[in-house]
Amino acid sequence: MASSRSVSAARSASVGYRCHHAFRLIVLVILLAVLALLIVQPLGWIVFNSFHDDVTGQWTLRNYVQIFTPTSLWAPLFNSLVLATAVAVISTLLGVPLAWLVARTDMPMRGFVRLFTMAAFVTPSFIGALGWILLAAPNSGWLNVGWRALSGADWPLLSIYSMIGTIFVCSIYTVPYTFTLVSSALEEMPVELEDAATTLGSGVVKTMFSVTIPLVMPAVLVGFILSFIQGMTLFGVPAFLLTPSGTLVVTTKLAEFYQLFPPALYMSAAYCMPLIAITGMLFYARRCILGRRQFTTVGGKGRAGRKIRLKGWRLPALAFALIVPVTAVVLPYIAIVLVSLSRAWGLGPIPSNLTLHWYRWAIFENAETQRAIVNSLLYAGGAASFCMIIGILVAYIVERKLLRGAGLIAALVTIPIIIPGIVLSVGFFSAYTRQPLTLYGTATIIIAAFVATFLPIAYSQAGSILKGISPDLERAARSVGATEARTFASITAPLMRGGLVAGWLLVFIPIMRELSVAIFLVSPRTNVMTTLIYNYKDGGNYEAVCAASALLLFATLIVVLLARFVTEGAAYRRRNAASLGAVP
Amino acid sequence: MSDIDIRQLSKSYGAYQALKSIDLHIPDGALLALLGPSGCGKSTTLQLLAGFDTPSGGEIRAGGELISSPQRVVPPERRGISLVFQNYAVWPHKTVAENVAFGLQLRKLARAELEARLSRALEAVRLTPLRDRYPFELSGGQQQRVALARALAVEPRILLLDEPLSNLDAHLREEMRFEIRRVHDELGITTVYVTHDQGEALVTADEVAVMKGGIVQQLGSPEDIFERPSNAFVASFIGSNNEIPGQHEAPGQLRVADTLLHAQDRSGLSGPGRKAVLCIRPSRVRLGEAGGATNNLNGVVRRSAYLGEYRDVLVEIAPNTTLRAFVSPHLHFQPGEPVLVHLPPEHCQIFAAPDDAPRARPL
Amino acid sequence: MAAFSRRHVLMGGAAALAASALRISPVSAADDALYAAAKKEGALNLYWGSYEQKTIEEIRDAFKAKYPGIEVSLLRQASQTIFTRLRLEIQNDAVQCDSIGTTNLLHYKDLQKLGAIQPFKPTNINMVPEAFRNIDPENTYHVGAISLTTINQSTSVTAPPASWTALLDAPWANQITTGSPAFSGDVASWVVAIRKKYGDDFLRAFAKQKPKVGQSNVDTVTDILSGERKVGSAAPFSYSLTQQAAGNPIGVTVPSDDAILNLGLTAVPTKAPHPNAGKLFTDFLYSVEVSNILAKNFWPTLRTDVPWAEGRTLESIKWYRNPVDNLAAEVAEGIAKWKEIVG
Repeated sequence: MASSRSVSAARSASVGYRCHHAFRLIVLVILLAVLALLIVQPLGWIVFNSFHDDVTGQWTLRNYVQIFTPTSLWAPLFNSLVLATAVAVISTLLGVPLAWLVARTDMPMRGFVRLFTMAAFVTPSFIGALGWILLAAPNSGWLNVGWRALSGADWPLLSIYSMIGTIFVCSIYTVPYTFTLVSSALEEMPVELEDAATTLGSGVVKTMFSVTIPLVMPAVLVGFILSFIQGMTLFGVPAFLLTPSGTLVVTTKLAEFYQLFPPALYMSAAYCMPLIAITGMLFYARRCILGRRQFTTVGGKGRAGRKIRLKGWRLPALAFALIVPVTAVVLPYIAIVLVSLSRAWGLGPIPSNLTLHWYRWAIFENAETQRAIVNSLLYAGGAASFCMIIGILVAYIVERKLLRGAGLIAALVTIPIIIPGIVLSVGFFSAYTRQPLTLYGTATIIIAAFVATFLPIAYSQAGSILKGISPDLERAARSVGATEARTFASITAPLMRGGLVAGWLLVFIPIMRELSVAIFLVSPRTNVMTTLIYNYKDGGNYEAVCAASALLLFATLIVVLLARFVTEGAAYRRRNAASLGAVP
Repeated sequence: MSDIDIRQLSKSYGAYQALKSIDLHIPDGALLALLGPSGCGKSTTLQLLAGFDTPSGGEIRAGGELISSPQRVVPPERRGISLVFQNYAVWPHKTVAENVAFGLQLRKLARAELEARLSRALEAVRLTPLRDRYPFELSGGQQQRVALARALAVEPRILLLDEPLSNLDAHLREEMRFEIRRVHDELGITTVYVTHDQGEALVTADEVAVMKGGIVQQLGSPEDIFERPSNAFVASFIGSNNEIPGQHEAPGQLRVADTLLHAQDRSGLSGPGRKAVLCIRPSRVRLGEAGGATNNLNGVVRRSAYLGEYRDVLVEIAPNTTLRAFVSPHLHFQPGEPVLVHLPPEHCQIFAAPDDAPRARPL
Repeated sequence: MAAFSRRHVLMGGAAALAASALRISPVSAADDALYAAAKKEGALNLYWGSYEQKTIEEIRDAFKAKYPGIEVSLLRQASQTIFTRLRLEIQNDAVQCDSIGTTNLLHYKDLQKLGAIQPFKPTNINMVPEAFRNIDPENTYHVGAISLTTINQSTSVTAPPASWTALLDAPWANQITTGSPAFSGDVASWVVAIRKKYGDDFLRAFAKQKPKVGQSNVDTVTDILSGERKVGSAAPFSYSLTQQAAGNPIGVTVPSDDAILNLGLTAVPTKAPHPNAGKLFTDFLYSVEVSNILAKNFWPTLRTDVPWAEGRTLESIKWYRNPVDNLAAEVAEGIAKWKEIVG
């Protein structure tokens, strides 16, 4: 009896052993295949292209020689570095305190600040730039006109056509990255850690800097790096605001390459390689800064949390917190909406000039706009979901150390974000127009490009959620008989849910506003809002541009609100509940 | 149920050797405590037993079946081994009943069978009234009982407990010790209990394995471990202990300052002149009386503390050498007072000095 | 294509001429055969950068109305993007485009060199102004749009500069807005023309006026409407007129020293999946319907018998077109000089 029992146990165990490894293997093989298709292939083409001559199509090192010789190619790189660094610093200085005020204090209007900071995120930066041209162009900008009228001065208060103006506009539209990452980290942090410091007699501000911020350092650093990358890869803002002063940055220089005859696509590919090196260094620096410190401590009890009382500082804090909502959303959208309501925007906002025509046209009359709105929502929704799935899998493998060399996969999925969209677009074109993958002209190719581009965000968000979930919760399930897959489905996934929705939005929104990566991939049937808006802009139809932009903002905000609504219930339970299963 | 057979099990993380070839046999139905300070290798052993890690060498068998070796690790869910975690790891998104029933649901039991086993498990840890609560509504002790019920409900052949009481307050801890022993006696599951608390180990375990530096220092019954430690580390780690350094003179004889002390020799040393230590528990030290022909020392009282049940006295017996004695609370000693110290030879044990010890082998 | 004899083509042209005299445009005999072939292909992919979204959509809709049974997809992007995309398609042997229409002659020189566009003679080509009829001896590309570069100005300007040289006068210092030749083909051909006419001295004097340099020439309209600047140089003629018609406070001045005329061109790729549909669309471009649409949207028409909006005609405007022989080099040199002098 005893022996037969142990024989059958042995058999079942060895079957399990094989099944277990077979399943892991299948998942891994599928994931690696997907990553190879999504990232390695297009990146491979970009690298391959960078070693070819644009005119002859032959192998050459000339592109690289050219990058490293003439000063004309160094200057844009240098300008981009200045721009990106400034954007990263300012976004961090604005975003971190903003996140703290919204997540941890009793500042008034927190909901408004949160929603409008997200709205800043939704705004394609070229539309923001457009809004700011209307506001702060030296002669005609409304703010400058108002300034002259009030002060009698003959010089403009603000000049948006400058490096400082560009940094400013880039920064206010980049703050949401830092804000979202840091505020969700802060919401997960136990209050006692702050209380401990406060009871030791540390002031609120000192506590924030000495306890709170260091604890959310990983999120702050990711925010900093994403902001830096954003500053490197933004095209719209420098194109509008820096061109008049003749200052080129990497993205506008790339645009010039594309204007050449024949277009210097291969040269552009080579020109992106230094960007990969710079980003690599950033991530390396992050590792050095964070070192071996463990941040899984985030996740104790009581995070449903009391708010820190600001007392007399509530209004000054609010004034600070309104900087981003007002400058990135309220002011530019007032300008944009006024233009969208005009028959002819040059006449200004006078009653006889007001009309709803452009909205009627965009929503009911124009089939192109209708299709683009639907496409944008579908593609962004699909791509964000797919992106999160891959991001979670990769993060799971990396965080739970399921595979040797997982760090390499992590590095791989991080690369696409630094490559300017227009170059990535060519990489995808090369990758998916050849046999056997002829996806050109389909929705799949656009979704794939979006997924690859924004995978780094999905991955880092999923990673930071997983860091907060103790592996013991998973092990407990394994030890009572759940397989790896079942454990993931029944334990890990439900525990990640609240953070996943935040992560999904963090991917969904930039996809909604992404322009350049789609530029060579859209077909008439698969056109999206941003490419369409850019076309209207190209044709100078600003009333239509503004109406479509307002609609894009509106559509995205509805999705954001829906997502929050859906998660709010789950978040409540999770917030209370997760405190107990967390790592000690 | 099944026994556990661990042979030459070792585990390295890079250059660091967490386990250095340990051998252990845990009979079917026994409760073994793995006791030791942090970093001793007890948790590594547990992870290997549970199947969360792959050994670098050696093997683990359960009921005769090979479950872990460097080539082959049966996955945790196929071992029939349940693990209770130090931090409970109760799933926060499930109720008490859902937590406990999870493992049962995986086994696709009939509804009635599932309900019966769930009730039994909840009953066993006395959680029936709380079955629909969420974990955040429970105290630490209640959560720990959920974790225990969850592990037991699936009727594992082996139960692993990883410092299960360390997050509880002192009062609860004491209560839960007996609770765990009671449950074990009821169900008779082969159990491995990892702890750094000797009290827990002595109360709950049939056998205790004391570990240090990736090596099992001693395996034995609680009484063995306490009364007949195999080396100075075990002697000092379990209970209070005096370690008096001296020179090994001859088997059973140790010179401390100019006094020759007699003791049971467990040092394994031969020949005079080697460094050794004499261990005696404070409760065995006699003060103020010459209890026998040998092992009498003249000392000076340095400190005396009244602790209600006994008096804790610190005596200097040689320059820079002190020992503690727990004596009747009715005896009075003043600091500076000379006192006669008697160390009964039957309670004295000689061990090699820790840095001179030959490599201990498990018994 | 051997089926279409020269006589056939001429007959078609004659029929169209006759029909247009009557202001109707029946489907001609040649059209019939081509339409049948195109209908068999069933689809048409337009890659167009000439004309803004609204105009090209109207042209597409008119084509759909006239030739049912062909599924038309329109990809409207900036000319250079369209061109880059077609080149990528050619490189990857995945050509989807049946009709390309962009504003830059150099695109077609390049495509011709690659053998990527096919020769054919559009049926109605005889209706286009003579000067633009046989622009390519090999017949691989044809006129697709006529674009004029002029001066535009705010309606608050009572005496706008009447010529390019007048822009260099004192009142226009700090008042000029213009596009960048590095980003806009129209501005590039303006730079080439102006250097031909006046040399680099013009650019130097122009630079002293401190113009605001945007990207596209469309930006001139934006700057004028917003009040940022008063006068636009190298400004788009048709687009400015559209904005004026919409009620915006902007006007157009055709400089006495010539509007700069830039031809938009069109071709059918050699590997077009629906070549007959592409050719049918080219024919359709020279129809009365299309010219009426163009006139309505303030574009120069492609037919001599359809006047432009507000009664203008090609003859009524003094224009200049850059010679095409050495254009690529001149554009590159013009951009380099511009960067050196203007910034």
